[in-house]
Amino acid sequence: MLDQLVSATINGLTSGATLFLVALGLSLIFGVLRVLNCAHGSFYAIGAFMAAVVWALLRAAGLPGYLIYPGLVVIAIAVGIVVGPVVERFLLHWSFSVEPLSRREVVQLLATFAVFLILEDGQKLVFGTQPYYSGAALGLLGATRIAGILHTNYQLLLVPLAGIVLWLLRLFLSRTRSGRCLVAVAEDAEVSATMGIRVTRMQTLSFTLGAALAALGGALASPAIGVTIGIGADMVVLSFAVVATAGLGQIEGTAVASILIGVAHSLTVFFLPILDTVSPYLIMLLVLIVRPMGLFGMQRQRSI
Amino acid sequence: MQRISWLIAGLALAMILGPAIGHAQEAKPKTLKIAIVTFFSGSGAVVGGPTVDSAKLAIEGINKSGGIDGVPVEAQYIDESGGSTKQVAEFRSLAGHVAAVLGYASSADCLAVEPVAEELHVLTFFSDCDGDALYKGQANEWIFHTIPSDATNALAMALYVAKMYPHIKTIAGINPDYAYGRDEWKYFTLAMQKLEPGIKLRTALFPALFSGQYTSELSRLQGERPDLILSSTWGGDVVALIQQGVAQGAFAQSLFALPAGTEGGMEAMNAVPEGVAFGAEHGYLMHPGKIGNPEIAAFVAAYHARTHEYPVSPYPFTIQRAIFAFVAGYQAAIKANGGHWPTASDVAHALVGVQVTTMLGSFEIRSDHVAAVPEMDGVSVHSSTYPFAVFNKIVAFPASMLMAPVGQSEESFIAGLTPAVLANVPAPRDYKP
Repeated sequence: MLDQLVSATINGLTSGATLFLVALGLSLIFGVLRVLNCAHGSFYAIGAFMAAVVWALLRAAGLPGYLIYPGLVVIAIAVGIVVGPVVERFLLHWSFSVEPLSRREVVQLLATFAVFLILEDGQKLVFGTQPYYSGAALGLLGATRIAGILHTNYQLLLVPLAGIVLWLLRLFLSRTRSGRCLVAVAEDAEVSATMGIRVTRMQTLSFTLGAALAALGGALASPAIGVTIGIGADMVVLSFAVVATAGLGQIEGTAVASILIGVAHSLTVFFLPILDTVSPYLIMLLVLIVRPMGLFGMQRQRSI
Repeated sequence: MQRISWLIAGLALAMILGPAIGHAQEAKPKTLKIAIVTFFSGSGAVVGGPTVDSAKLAIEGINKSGGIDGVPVEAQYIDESGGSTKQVAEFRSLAGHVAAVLGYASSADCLAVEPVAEELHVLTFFSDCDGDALYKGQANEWIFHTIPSDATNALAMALYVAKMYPHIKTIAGINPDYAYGRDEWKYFTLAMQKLEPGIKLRTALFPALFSGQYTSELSRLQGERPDLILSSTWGGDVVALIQQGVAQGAFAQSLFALPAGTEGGMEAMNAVPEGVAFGAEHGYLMHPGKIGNPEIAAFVAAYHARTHEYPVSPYPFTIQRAIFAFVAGYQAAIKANGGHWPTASDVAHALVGVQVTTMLGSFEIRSDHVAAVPEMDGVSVHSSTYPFAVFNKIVAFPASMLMAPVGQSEESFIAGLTPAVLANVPAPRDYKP
């Protein structure tokens, strides 16, 4: 029983780690741009596809498989830089000035959903419809036996890695000029503009960062999943559940909610399998009944 | 008044003679158009690519050898994704424009299309959808199943496991959470309990279809240490399951039985360790005992030249079963019609009891419109010829051993099994990998 509990918790933490990165990106974009980004799952999918393609290229070129690990981070940054600004500038930016606010929210929801559909078809054009796999990268680092069960070291490492990303993001937001400007825009875009902060640049920056985080989640998850068309849609729904549980725009809250949902899902697989698919949404439902703004959300809060 | 009487009499005469005249005047068309429906997009797209490539090769071959009584076959390909409502609309738009509709992988789509095919009198061949709910024991007039119920696939695996691994005492499962995954677990465990009384069922997990992430499920079962884990995951899911299971040591701990494992294609067979039990979903072209057959060898070479892949999954073959059943139906109907071109209804009637010839042997269409096709099970062994594992210790189960007689449900057929049936299981054959 204890062994199972330990195993379930470890599995929950490892799956929560990639979920956290994706949800963090979603939360960041919402915090600064006030946009609930339906296209977020596409960045996750593109990151995963790119990782699998790079893995195949590495293998074809006869290069050592270990190169994939730093490659995953490079892929995420590249996807963020290439896709993020393009989508934000050319496909979404026009919607930021739609008035009134209530209409803007609806328009943005539809616009990001349209972007999601465009990117989904774009993936089919670029990557085709057959699944990609980089699963062999999962076993390269070996496995560790914990409480009688083997866990791949790769997945165990995802947890501290997610922690490092969280720490770096915090450092960026509190210690760098750009980061502080980002926080200021999240707090109040109009006042920030009057203080001389270039709000549109901050919006692009946050969207790029958010997209890169989602792509990093996808790239890191790719060795442990079959990368197929449609994974983005599944992930965006799950990360919506995480940010709704945490409260939109809450960074540490997103970490807690990711762990909560990851572990809850894993625990249901171990002890109540009939609920495993719905468990993330049950958690979300329970949290929202007690705290309608999410675990860490406040009526009028600083958003990041 | 008299005029009206004449009019009615004339109409009655036309109604009586109409079909007969139509029969005699059914003109031979310039081309015989068919529609092939399969997934081009979405997660089901793993089915569509091999299906279309193989169908094109088969139809090229048919036309090269003169078509059907000199009439070439021309196929149009239609995307199955988008849900059942869309498929019904597509199907309606095809009626009247094609001689037959072939394909479909989703049982939900097949259930939706079935009544429409009957209503519109469209000759329809279901090539891949095999949910047990589709086989009701009574034949529709226009629908033909060139794949038997998924229960036969589960039963074949149970017979194989019971015969080859008599030490198995506990069974657990990771099966996708939809009709097929539930059916496989239900019929496999039902059969195992009949074949090996006293066998214990452990945890059955049903993760979402296309979830692609099984580390939690695998850990859960690893803690339980069952002798055998049944997984009917397919496509990208089975590849992910194998890769994750190998990395976390699950394959070293329990015997895995993958009744739809070849549906993971070359990637699955490449990732799988030796000694895993596989089902072939009624079509295994890489069969080491048959690949030397000139017709199969030529097809594998042509398929490889076109796609740079080997036909590991059953899809290249399942669609050919439907295509050749269509051809056999027309040929039989032409013969029965004294050499005249038949109506669609003639073809539907001629199909019952017809022998269909394919690369992997011939099969009969039973009176319930279901193809009586055999199943092959084997264990994975690394190959010196191919960059992926092939089957060894192959048992070829005759259809009569797996399919309930016409009129009996597959469930009651399996429930009536006894361990004595194992004596009739053909001996496994060893092949040089």
